[in-house]
Amino acid sequence: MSMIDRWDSSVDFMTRSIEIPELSRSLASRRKFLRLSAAVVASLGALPLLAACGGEDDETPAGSEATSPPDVGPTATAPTDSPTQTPDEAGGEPRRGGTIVQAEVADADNLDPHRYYTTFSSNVINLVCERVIQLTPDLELEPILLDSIEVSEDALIYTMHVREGVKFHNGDTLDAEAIAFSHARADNELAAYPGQFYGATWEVVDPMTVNMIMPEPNSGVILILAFTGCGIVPPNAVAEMNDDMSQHPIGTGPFMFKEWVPGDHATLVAFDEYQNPRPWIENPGRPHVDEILIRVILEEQTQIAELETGGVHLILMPSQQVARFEGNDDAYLIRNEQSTTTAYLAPVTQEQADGTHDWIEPFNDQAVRQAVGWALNVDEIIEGVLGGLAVRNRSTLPTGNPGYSEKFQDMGFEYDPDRAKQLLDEAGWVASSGGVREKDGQRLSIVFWSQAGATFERIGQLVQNYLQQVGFEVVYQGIEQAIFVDRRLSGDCHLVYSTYNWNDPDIVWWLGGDTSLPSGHYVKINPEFDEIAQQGWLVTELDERGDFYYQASKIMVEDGAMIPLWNPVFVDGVRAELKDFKHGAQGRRFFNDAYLEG
Amino acid sequence: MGRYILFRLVGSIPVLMGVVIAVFMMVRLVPGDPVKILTGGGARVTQEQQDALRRQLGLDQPLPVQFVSFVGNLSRGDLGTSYRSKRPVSDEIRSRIPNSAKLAGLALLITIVVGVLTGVIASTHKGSLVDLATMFVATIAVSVPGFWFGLMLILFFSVRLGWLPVSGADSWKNLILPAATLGLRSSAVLARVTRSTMLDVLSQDFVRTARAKGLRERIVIYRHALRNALIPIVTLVGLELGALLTGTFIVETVFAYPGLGLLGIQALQTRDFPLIQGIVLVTATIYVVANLCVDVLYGFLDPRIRYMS
Amino acid sequence: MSVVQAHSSLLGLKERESRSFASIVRRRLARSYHAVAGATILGAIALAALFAPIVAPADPLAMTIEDQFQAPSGKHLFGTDEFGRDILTRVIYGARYSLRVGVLATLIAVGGGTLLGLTSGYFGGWIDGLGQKLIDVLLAFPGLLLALMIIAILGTGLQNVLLALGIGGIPYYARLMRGQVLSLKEREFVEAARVIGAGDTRIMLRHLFPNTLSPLIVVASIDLGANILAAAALSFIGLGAQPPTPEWGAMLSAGRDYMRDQWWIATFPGLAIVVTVLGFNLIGDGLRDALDPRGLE
Repeated sequence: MSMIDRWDSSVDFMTRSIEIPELSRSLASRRKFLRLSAAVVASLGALPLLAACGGEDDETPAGSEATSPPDVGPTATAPTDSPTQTPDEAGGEPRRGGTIVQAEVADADNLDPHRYYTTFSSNVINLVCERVIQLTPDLELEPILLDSIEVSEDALIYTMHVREGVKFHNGDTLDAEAIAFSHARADNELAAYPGQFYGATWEVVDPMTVNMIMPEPNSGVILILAFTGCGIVPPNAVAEMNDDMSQHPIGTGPFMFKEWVPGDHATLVAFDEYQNPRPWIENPGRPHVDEILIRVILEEQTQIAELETGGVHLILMPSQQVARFEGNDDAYLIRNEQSTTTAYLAPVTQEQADGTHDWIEPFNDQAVRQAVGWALNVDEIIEGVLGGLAVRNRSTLPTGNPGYSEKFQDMGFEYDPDRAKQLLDEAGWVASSGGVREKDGQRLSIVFWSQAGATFERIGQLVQNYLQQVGFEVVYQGIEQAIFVDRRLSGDCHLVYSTYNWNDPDIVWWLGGDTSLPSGHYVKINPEFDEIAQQGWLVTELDERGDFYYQASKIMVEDGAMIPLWNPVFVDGVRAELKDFKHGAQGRRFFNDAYLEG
Repeated sequence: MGRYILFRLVGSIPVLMGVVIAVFMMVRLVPGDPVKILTGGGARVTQEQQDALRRQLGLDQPLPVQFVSFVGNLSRGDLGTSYRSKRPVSDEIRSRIPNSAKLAGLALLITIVVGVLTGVIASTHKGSLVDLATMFVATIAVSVPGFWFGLMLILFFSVRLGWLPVSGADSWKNLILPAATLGLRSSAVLARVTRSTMLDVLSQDFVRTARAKGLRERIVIYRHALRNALIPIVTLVGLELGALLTGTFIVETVFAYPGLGLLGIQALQTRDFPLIQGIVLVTATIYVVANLCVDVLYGFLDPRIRYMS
Repeated sequence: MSVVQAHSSLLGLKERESRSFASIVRRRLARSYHAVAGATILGAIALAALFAPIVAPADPLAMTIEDQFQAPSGKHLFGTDEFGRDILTRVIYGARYSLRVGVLATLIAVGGGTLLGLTSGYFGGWIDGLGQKLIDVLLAFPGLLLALMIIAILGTGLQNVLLALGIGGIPYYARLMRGQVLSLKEREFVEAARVIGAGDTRIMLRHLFPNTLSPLIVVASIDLGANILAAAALSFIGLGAQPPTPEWGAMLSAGRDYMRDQWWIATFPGLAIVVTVLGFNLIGDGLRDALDPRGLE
């Protein structure tokens, strides 16, 4: 449930170049466009997927067993001793047939590519529906359903040339109409992220050409096109389903939807007519396996037992279980090292009686917010609870974000409990007999929430512990996901632990402005932040953009409006007999080449 | 007998009506706006959309009106639509009932066979090592948290020995571990009660007479004594049915077994109130009907009961 | 909860007013291995809970990450958990929470059930009709179902858990109590009290209630253990006590993530539950045997 879905590319934007031949060719002719596209490609994932979230989103909570891995680090690197990493070593032709079984800790919420919120849904949809362009594992832009895409000189018109001969699972043929229809549907008020295309409209030029027309230039919109939530669907089929695909997604992907038994499993079958456009995938056509079965298994220990006994081939490995699978002959681990998810603490803002926004007492005092930052021993949480499977980060941007650079680490907090105590002293919260600080007869007492789940609750308890050591009284609760999302901004709690998974540097603006996020009213509280962060929208040069977001991020973090903690590293546990299973960008799972040995 | 059954049937109608009222009230007592919960509470959903949904769900009507339409829908087998899956609650529940019935049925069988047999054996060997050992195990068994026992069974029989599948509902083998977990406690309770009832019966005159007549011990015990001990045993089985029914909530979660209980836990986690409401309603109804069957069984076992009522 | 009903229906206990009965019971209890063993176990646990700050070697909440995952040793008899907390200490403090859940939930059930059963059985007529209907409806929600419903409404947390378990137990006690009262209220001593001019409340509390206590106590003693187990089950599905409360069920449930590598984290709170529930069951057995009217004549 994070608040935001993200494209992640954890590419260093300074070194990026465009490697999609069609795309670069059409762009290369114009200098101005090059700059735009450089920004675009660098920020590749950066599509501000506005996620805002309401319900559960496609977020990937740090290290939580309650979430699924995707959306996270792009490059999957298996341990060298992994028996299955290289297909050639495995020897022999990929075996055809069989069913790959994958386990999730929660069920999909909705299988409509334009209306789902959770990663559990996107894991299914991603295999069924494709987007016009997608990211490669190296975070290059790659046309999937297009021959090419061109951008006009004024950067207002994106012309998409549709690939010939692409079939939907229902037999329909992909055309410009389907793309215009799908994008508009992903943008309308019933979509999970309405308006995510920044006001774009679509115009079908001819049966195989469609223009996306922007009201003003926006360097981020191209990556929206690659978002799982903007999958291309056949218009006729959607009409037949009364505009409700929630039970039956249809797309052009390598697997066709077969069945969804809510709360238990979803089954996908190989699409015989699939034609793979990706050079980094070997299999040109139909996937080797016949089916993918995605099972819901709530209990972590049961998932692990299934992986050990071979009942399941693939799980997201809980961080505290990683060690026991190192060197295991029956299963191997794949780490997504370059996480683009950020875990953070944030005091909750709320609308006041006079319509303004502010924190709830005692966090309306800047010193108290900052004291939280200094009180936390983040390195100890990473080592002690996450088993080292996270990268310390002091800024709002994950290290994989294209706007990120080293200088972002000059903000934020270190572990310095004395400084925290001093700040509280100076703010008038003085130590009393019980260890809890008081001011004017009031106790420094807060309610702290995270979502429920073993890893969340371990992190939450440790945070509670640090805060108590500097004189807070903390009531901590792990709240069931759906209730957490619903009630965390209702004034029932003062402080939340949360994560977001978003890859454009403009996430900084969203964190301050998106009312569904815990620190979401910061733009209203701090006009200076708002102004600087908004300027980031107007430039296309990534260096410049990054600079604006650096300043905005610094204002927000140093104020204690948000206390960034780390970027989690997600780990997949894979059965040894599952060969050539790959990760794409954001840890998306690809089964085109995968096969089951023996 | 027919009149007795009819009498019992009629008697359970007000109970079921009470259950319906209780369940209806329960969902309306939940703090928080169901519409907010349903839409996720995000800023994205407009007020108009929320209002539309409220109207669609009938939540804008006064409670009595809501109740009338609730009962009306119920009488047509319409339990509403799951927030989460957008499918009719009745379909969701119907698809899970066979699985839960199989699981609870096997657990019941284990309970009766294991419970009665050990109880009888312990009673006929009173004071022996067998008696002490079985009663010791039974006492421990009722003190062990069920989910823990289930996880241990998985570790031993699935992971260590590789004999049985860990989870799911693919074959009859999937039933064994969850049914054993579920039946453990109930069979322990039943064993203890069977033992003490049998001890009572065995000390009575007619048993002595039967023995004196030279009947074989096995016939004395299973034909004569056990039949007379049946009423308390049946009573207890009826009661343990309740424990078995809700035990499925925990056990199905451990074994990822797609029954009504797991559906209930997921509904609780996602606050899917129409589904929670439907599951509670159906579970309670099953329980009431099961107890009705037990009552009828009494009537067969002990004709006096028929006339008493 | 079904245990309650089971025992109540099987006990067949009747009130005993004679003093000799009380002394027989006391003698029987002292001779019962079950009762003595149960009382010893629970006594030790209750003492540990009471004097936790003195008995426990450490602070149950203080976290020292450097000390995490230490196996049982002379320094930490039960080892340490994922936060470096001493598990022995947490088990000792945990007795306070787990016993509280068991005792308070049972008290709510006994209190509510007694009130409902007593008034219903004593007054009869429409009050009884209504009371009985209420009992029947509540009884239609088997086992944990009522508790789950209540927690769905109230939310999680230890207070709500014990409230939910308590309310869930009410109908069983109410039925037990009503049955007792029905058979007692026509007895001479009740008549006698009425003739003297005792009011309804007085008759119910002074004359009827004390004479229904025996079966109630037996059932409640077993129910205490059952409620501790139920709280553990609720922790497993995430509806129980919130961290860092060292309630045993919550500790066992959180410890299951480590059960394969750091077995001690879950094993000791698990054992604490088993032993305590066993203690309550043993006492229940002992009480039942001791209060059994058979063999008195």
